[in-house]
Amino acid sequence: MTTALHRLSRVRWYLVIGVVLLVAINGFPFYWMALTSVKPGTELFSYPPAFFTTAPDFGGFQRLFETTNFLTYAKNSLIIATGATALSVVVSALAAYGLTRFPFPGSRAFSTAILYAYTFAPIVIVVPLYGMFREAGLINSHLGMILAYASFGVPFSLWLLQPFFRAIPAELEEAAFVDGANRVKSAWYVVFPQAAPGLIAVSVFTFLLAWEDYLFARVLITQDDLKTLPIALHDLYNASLQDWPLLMAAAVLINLPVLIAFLFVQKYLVAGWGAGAIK
Amino acid sequence: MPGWFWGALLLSPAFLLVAGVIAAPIAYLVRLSFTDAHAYLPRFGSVGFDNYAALLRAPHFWDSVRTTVWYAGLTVGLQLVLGVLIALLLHQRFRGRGVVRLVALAPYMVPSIVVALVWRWLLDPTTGAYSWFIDKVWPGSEPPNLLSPNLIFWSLIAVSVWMFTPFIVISVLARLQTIDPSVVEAATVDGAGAWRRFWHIVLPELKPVLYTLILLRFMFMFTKFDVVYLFAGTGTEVRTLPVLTFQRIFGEARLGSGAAVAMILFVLLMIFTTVYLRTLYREREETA
Repeated sequence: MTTALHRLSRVRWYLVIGVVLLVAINGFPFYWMALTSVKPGTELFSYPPAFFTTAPDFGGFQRLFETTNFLTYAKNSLIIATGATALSVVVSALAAYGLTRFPFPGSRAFSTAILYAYTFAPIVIVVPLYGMFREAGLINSHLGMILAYASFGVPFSLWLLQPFFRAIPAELEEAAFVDGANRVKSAWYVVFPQAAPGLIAVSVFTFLLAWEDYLFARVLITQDDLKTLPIALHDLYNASLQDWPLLMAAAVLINLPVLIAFLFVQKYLVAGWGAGAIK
Repeated sequence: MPGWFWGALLLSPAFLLVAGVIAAPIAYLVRLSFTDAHAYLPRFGSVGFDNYAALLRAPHFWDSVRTTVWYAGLTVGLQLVLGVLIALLLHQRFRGRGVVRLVALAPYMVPSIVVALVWRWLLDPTTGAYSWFIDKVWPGSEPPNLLSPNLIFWSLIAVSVWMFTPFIVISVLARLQTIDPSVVEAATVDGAGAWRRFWHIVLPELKPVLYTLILLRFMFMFTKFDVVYLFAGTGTEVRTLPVLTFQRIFGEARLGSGAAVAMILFVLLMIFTTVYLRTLYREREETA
């Protein structure tokens, strides 16, 4: 199709206009965020707005670290996202292996149930979860958050991992058995390395799910020193005086791992999004 | 040990986690919705169907339903049209395509809170870059306040379309890449113009994926909470059903009543999912 269109239109003006518009509309908010984070106070509220700066001022970053508990929030986010990812990936990898190697009565029903689970909206789950966590004493607990995000990670991870495990030929494992490996060893040395690309993709998606979430953290965390980055940023925004360079500095820092992960897992995006990894 | 034993053993952690944190809460949600439970106090009295009856009688509930349908309908429609256009654009071969693709997909990866704040800053009536830009392009007597109660819904639509269109782009792009180029070339040789090639060859190929996308995206937008609440949902102007649920529980402390709204969302989700799975299995059988 591309070659056909090439031939048809020598001057591809529509392509040029389209690309320029797309890059401008999609890219500008990122640029504005980064620019605001280093704008000196004199340019911040100028009219017309200053579209670049010659005197970058890192005061926003400095105030973020000196006047807020940013590092504590970052640490909380990191602990919760890492914990949830580890738990979810281990549990889903075991289940995906089980589902593809040992089909048993009811495993198909289980797969369908998993499909239903991955379409559940967070807002529907968070209401009763709040009630249950309150009774179980899991409000304001990293463990509670890890459990919540891990169980949101399992359905789409399982859905995404099954094809990877199914694609590994049984003969590979049988060869390992012949060489004297047992079931556990063959799974560890033969099956899981083969599924590595899938495991990496679901790890990144689960990490992002926990890293970016606002709703669960808002409802299940009330203590300041346990807050995650998204709710901390919202609270900073709601403070009486809005310090935009500081807010945008925080936004830049929260985005950094996300954009790195994005470059890293680009090629899995279709599969991951299709599975509802990020809604 | 028989095979099914190992299968069940390997599945049990996943089963426990999903049962404990997704299935059990749903059961608890059903119970909550029939009580007058308080969000912070230990009150838990049965009220029968009162929560549901009160909701169905309340005009603001129906306002919420209307807002949600409009929000989901408009954002899905716009995303679909723009998504297909952008996918067609990115399917062309040109220098720097890899970078442009990254830029095209980036908004989807940004955390909702960052999207909400950056856009509120861009649209700020006095200092926002976009407010200034609109005022320049379209000089009126009074520059519009895009965050005011009567315009915020439309700003939210724009922000949501900006954020969620990449999902459509990547799905459509993946499908475009599987279309046999020789068919399109043959049509070109036969004298079919760009429009006719799109309408008669490309679009029929895209139909199944578009149908799935409409269902999935409508479902996701209908229950979307984060960006709606963070960008526009702290007042009553844009109170979609998820926002209403949240406000009921954490604003008014009425856990039971909020649970009833969540239940209504849950039932709608189940219906959507069932329809979606039917089409998914049908497609599989057709391709198998």
